[in-house]
Amino acid sequence: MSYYSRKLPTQLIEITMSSAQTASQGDFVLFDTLRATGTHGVTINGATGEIGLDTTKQYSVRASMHVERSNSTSSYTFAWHDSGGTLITTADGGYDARFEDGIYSNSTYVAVYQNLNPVSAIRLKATLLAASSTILTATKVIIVEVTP
Amino acid sequence: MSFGFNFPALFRAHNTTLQTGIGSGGPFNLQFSEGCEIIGGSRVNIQNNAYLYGDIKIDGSTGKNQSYDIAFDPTKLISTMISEAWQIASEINLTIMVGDDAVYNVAQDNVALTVRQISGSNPGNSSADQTRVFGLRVEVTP
Repeated sequence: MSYYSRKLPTQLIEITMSSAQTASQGDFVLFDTLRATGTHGVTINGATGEIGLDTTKQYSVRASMHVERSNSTSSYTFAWHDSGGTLITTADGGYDARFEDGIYSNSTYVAVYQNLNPVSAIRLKATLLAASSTILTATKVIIVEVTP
Repeated sequence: MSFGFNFPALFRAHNTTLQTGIGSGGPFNLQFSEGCEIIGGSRVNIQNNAYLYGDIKIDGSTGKNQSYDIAFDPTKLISTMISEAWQIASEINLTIMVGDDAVYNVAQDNVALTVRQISGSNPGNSSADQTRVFGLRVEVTP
């Protein structure tokens, strides 16, 4: 693999929720607020939770989860899915945030999507979550967008 | 001083098989990479400078030690700063979950995610279910 020095246009994008969301297993996280440093290719759909990406760019997407569990002994998992609802595997750059309640496990609190050839849209889905839990507004997505 | 990004700017690596018997000082193994090369089964070849982010998830098998102090082990540090993160068992009685227990660093050349300390009565017997290394390759121009 070769590397070479080149100044690449880069933007930072922050995506958040304007209000807390009551959610259960199978629900998508509904982000509705976007701030960015400049012109970029990211869009959001607050009704579906879809985060649109420009497939000609490269992305590092990190979602830091803040969750209030309805059951204090429950576990949760949030995983990235594409626009068709298919789970994005680690081979394709999707890494889940998984809190595993128990004395023999630790957790990953940040869900990451990173791919040099990104899909056109991603959604963050609660694949494991106690019914009527709350996704708090402190949940944030930070995106680094690089134009290659 | 100005900053730019070398191409490819983004890279990542992770394990694809469960790693057992992780002892103090040992590296976390990596098998899959994009935008970088893996050296010796555990080191990510940055080539130059990079901002790094790493995380692990320990297998939850009963009786295995699960608390690790992890850090990057770069061949060169850009500064003397190095961050560590304790990966602690998750069982708590609170309902509100917050926190990011990942490890961050800025380094040069190549780097591995390693164990600095182990806490518990059964060290060396835990298994790494997930090891994740992400990076942003940075050029620094004085």
